[in-house]
Amino acid sequence: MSCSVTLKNLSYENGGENLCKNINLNVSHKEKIAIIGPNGCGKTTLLDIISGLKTKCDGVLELFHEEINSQKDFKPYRELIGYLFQNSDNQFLAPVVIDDVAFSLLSSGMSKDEAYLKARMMLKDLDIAHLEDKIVYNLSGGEKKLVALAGVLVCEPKLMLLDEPTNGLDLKMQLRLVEILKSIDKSIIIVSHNREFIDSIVDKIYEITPDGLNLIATLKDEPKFHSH
Amino acid sequence: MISSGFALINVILYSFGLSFFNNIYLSMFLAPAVLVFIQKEYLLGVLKKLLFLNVFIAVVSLSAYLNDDYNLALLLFLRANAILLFTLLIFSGKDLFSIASSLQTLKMPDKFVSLFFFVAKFIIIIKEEWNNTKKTLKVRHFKKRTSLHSYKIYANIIGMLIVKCFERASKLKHSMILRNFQGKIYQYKVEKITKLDFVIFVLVLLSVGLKEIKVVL
Repeated sequence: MSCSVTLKNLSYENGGENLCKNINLNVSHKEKIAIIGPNGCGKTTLLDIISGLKTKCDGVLELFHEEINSQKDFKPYRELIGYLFQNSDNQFLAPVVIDDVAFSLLSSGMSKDEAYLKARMMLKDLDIAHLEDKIVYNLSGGEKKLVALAGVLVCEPKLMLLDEPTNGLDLKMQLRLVEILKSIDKSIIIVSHNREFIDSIVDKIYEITPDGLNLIATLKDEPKFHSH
Repeated sequence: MISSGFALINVILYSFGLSFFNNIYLSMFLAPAVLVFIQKEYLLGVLKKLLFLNVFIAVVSLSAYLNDDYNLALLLFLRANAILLFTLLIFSGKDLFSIASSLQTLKMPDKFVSLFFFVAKFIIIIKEEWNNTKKTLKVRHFKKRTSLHSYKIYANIIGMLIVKCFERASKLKHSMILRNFQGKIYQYKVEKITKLDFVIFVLVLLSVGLKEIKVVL
């Protein structure tokens, strides 16, 4: 199934406050985009709407070429969407790294052997196999972020939503994340304030303004992230 | 290493057994005494915790003592201390999630086990938030005083902790939706039952079953 996200005149209101207004966006298969904007302009809200955590108030939301109108409509696509939270701690459901990475696979009914094999391979791919038996809450910020990312990637989502993925990461860890995300062949929507980071990964950059979402840059595939 | 599942069974058995004691028997100290040797590296930490908990035990014992029931006061004091010492020692060196793991080993219902996992998670979250708040108070030069201002600050801190926990709970709910939570937390490594577990089990049985030597008061 090819991935596509289409938003037409989408808006979201909370307690009389307009958090997103007139949002028009089209993310095609394997396209990587970034959304920037000032604090409180509704970037995370937009990701919540696309992932089905919040229900839009107005407009059209299409996921994988199907119109989504209710939470029920999200169900078939839930496993195709991976969401990396801003705070990794919120994402963890199991206390041990390997159990948390394998969690979604096991919940979807995959056999224990297969799920743990996949989880272990994912940890190896991200170069964090040594964390396998560690308690997630005792890890450093960067390690937590990578474990959370492993938990998302292991499900092989078609669409990835990343909310401030560089938050709390040092430069070395950020470079590693750039490397990982560049190698992923999936549709990705990144919300971040880190311009240098998103410039290295995405094809297009949009900015949320009070009037809607504006395309502000189309980037070529050339590395812009330097370790200085 | 003591298995969490078996530790839980032993704690339940020992506490229930001891709660029916009407007299003080020497045997009731058998299991904690042996555990002191097995878990000696944790003894100091356990004794510190026990000392703190004795504040509450003392209040209960004192109420019996003030009613002129000296035997009951002593029985309550020793019984509570023996149970707490045994429980603290047997769970020493284990993390917060061990109770949940032990319930899972004992094949308790999945939703019940998940509840314990999340309680442990939230204890960590509250502790983290509390530590952050303490740091904030320090760097912002807060001084404890018996003034209305201090009490207002305390009330605000409690309020903020509740709000933060509520926020984290709603984020956890989001994670459950996105990660296809079906009411079960999975564990790859299940603790194995060892000979030591059986030794402790036998000791517990002896502790609650043997009533040979009565301590006469």
